[in-house]
Amino acid sequence: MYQALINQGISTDMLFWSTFVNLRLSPNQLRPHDGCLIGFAGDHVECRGYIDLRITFSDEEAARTIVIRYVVVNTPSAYNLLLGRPSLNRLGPVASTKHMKMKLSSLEGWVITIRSNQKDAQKCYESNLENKRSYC
Amino acid sequence: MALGYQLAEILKEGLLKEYLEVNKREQQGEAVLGDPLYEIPVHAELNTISGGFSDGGSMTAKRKRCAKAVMTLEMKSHDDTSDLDLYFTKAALVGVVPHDNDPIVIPSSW
Repeated sequence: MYQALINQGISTDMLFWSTFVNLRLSPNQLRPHDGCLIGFAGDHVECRGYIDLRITFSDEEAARTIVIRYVVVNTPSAYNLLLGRPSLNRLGPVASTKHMKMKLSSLEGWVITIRSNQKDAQKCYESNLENKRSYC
Repeated sequence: MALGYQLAEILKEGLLKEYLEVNKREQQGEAVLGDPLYEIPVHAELNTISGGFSDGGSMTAKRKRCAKAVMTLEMKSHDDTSDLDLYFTKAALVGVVPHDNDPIVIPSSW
């Protein structure tokens, strides 16, 4: 199971290199993208490139598929991918951290409810902090 | 101390010149190697994580225009779904342990 973090504070959608390898994607699919991303504290993360992948959001009743352009970065993370503003703006979801859910509409006019697994979310959050701590 | 003093004396006499030059060259080499970090184009500095795409740079006007065009097209084609009400009721809280700062993490499979 892969973990995708919904984060409105991110200006791009991101896929981590370890996940890229794990998905057995071919490096040939990676398209060049120079430059780097800048974190809140001004830390730089170098981009490996970018890749377009199809992603489906679904619940028991409906589904919606879009193609997302991910920037691939090689940095340790407990998450596999981060969904930032570009994909969220296209999906137009309503996310509530209090309810641990995200709702979006399908093209057929159904409401798709995506549930966050609270335990996994906590685990990811904590191990991500551990990752960061070892860099301090 | 004595050794340092002696070295300083020899240095003054110019006997260590060739070694010093080698050192200078090495230092120059290091400086050049250490620089690339600053040669990477920096795009913007906003909140949390900034930067990104795409054809022809990250925050270029061209890219923004392109994204806007794509989104406008999408919005037009999904007009019937755009006025769908998306809201959470108390029922949505069932099964959620009251929490302080848990993020929304979606489990996904390949």
